[in-house]
Amino acid sequence: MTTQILSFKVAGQLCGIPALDVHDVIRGGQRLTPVPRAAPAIIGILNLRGRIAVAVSLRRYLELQDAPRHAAGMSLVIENAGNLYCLAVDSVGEVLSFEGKAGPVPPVLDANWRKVMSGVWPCGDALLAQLDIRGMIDALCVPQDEQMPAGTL
Amino acid sequence: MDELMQEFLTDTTEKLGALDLDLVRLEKNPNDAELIGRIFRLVHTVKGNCGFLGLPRLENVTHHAESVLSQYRAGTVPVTTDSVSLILQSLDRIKGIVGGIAETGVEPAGDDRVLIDLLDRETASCKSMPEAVNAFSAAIDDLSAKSLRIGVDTLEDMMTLMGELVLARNQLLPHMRGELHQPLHRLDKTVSALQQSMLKARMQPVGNLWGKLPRIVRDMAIDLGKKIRLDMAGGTTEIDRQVLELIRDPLTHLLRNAADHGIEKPALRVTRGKSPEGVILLSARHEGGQVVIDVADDGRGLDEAAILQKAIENGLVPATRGRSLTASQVQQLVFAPGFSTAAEVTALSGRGVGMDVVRANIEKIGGTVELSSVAGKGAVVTMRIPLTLAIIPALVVKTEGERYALPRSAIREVVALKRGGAHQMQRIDRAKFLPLRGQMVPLVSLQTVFGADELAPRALNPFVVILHVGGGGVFGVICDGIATAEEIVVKPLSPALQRLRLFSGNAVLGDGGVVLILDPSGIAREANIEPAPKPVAAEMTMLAGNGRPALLFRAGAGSDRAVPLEYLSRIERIDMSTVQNTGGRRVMAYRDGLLPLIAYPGSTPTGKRQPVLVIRDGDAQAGVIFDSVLGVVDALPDVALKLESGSGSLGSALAEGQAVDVMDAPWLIRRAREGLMHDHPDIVI
Repeated sequence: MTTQILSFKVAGQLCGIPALDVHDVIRGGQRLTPVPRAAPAIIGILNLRGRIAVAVSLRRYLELQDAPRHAAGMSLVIENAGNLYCLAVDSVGEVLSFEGKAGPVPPVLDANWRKVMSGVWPCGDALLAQLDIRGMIDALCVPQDEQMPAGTL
Repeated sequence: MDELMQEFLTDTTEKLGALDLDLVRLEKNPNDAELIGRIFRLVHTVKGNCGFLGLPRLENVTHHAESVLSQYRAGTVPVTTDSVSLILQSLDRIKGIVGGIAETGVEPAGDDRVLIDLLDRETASCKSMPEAVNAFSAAIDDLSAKSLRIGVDTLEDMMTLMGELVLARNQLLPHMRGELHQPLHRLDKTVSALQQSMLKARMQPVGNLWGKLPRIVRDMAIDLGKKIRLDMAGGTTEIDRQVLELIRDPLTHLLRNAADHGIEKPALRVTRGKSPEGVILLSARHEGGQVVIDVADDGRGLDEAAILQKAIENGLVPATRGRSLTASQVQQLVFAPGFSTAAEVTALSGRGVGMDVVRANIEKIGGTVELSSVAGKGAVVTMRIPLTLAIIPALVVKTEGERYALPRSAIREVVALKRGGAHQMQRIDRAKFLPLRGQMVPLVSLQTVFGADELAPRALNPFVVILHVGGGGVFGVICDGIATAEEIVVKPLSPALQRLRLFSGNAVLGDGGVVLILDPSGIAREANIEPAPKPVAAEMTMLAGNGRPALLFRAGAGSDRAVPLEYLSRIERIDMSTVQNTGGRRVMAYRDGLLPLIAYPGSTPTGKRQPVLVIRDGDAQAGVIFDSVLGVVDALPDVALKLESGSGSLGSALAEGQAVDVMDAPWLIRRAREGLMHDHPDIVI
């Protein structure tokens, strides 16, 4: 079985998601309307050809430092349950083909990485982390009250 | 579920809705052969579909119902209330089964034997049973060719694309010159026309909602032992389908109220000289960009005594004030939150069960509800509802460089806070207020609600937008400035943002930027502020003895004076030499007319220029000459020491720790208009 993965980088790490899940790739630096009180990973909303998409920063989701200001970055447009999301990453690479099944997520990883990873592919002398973008979006959609145990606010 | 089944379910549900309406008409009009034919055909079609979709239970029920109907059509069985009830019962069963299929994809289990026995007995009660059933299978509803069913998703997609087209058009318009002028002008026109027809495509006649109502009224009439006719007018009035869904419950509620509390029992109606059959009139019309829906009945009207008693019991009005309320003030009490609770419905024979909820629901979508009633003659409830929620007029405000939209329907007014201006913000601890026409309106800064630092730099001349909140109450949001006022196409928030109670949706602006739409009640909740009561409610607070706003002033010697602000229209400074004496009256030219003048009783103004309070009571107004303004009190309590009428003063009340003399404004206005009277030598100018 061949799996087509669109590769991209975030904070130097090679990542990927199934190419068929990606609607579009757009340049970063689009005008975003910030959403006060939204989850930290949600960096704003934007107009994508008449539809309103939610922009999510992968760096913020992974609790990494923001990219330097001059780096425009790229965004992957993903549709989930009829809604558009823009996943902001550092750079986008090629579509890679892999045979077989992805390797399991190593348990030694940082918890933030583990919660978004669904598998690992060997890629030359590097490893490609396959991300579970839909799981990540679903997690963002869960009401905050349910995400946090009582008393944390 | 396959497409065929889906189609069948949609079609059947729609047809069943139409059947309700026809059956109620049938009961009134048993000899209408055309009507019987139509009902028969509908049931027959449902039955026919069951066969090839493999729905044996549904087929069985429809088959027996059809047999009874075919006799009505042949005229062999008289149509009685009982027989219509039987058919309605069968239809309910059919609906139940169809609903079950829609949910689970298979026929729900159940036993229909009792119902089928009843149907068979009805069939057997006639001598012959016509076998002409099959003749009708050829009769196909030819209406279907004129309309087309489109999925709501498709329509929404088209709206989105439309929005994009409008945006592209807006960006092209600045280049409308030279050889591009003609084609761009045409494009502009076409796009506008297209947008209009797109909006029209979302519209549905209000009548679609009304289809189920005759059945509800009929069932209630039978339960209550009343005779009720439901008349409907203006069912073709079109309204956005989304709005239609949202007014379904309030409308049903009003209708139930009218049938239950409004219409009297037949015997009572006859003794009152009315026809034994009560009438509820439901009408809809377009008026000024809104849809107006009236629910009128010719019943007993509101029982004001019962409402008042109930309001006193619930502590909404102190017992001592009850008598001084006018009929219309009493009627408005039914909208007060907490006026009625479900447990007390039967105890109260007046109207107003859950009216606060009806009002809150209608106000939530930017509409209004009014009520009027004449004792013994009936009541009318009028709802004004926006045509659509998809495109709303909005005010776009700025805060910290970002734009946010506020629905115009929620805005009461906009106030500029300028240094040294007429309106100044007041603080109590960290809470902010704006005194506005005698009300202390609580304020909240958008920056604070958004979680920004309280000390962040602020605009020099901020604006306050005063907002209504559903169910009554106003508060103000402080923003840095106003960007634009425009019509926006509202889109629902992404699920990732739906937990944010501050926003009700988002929209693309004319320049392509995206804005969040602020939700007034969400902001009030998040900011934890208690909105100031609305005028009607304010009146009730006043009745509850909390006082009313008043102006304090000085006139002559003696204690300070007070005039309730409700009577005060202006304060003017006049040149006394322009005052003329005619027929024992002192008058002056004032705004295209004459203003009768009077000095405050017990004072003798001597200045060349004197301040004048222009007071008003209904249409009558007069000027009261006084000396100086002392200030405003928010809550002047009731007069504690009353004076007899005819002195120009109601008596004394306690304001800010001292006794003030409260002006009897209506009496002074009458006196000024009548002129000097010799038996009141103390009133001298």
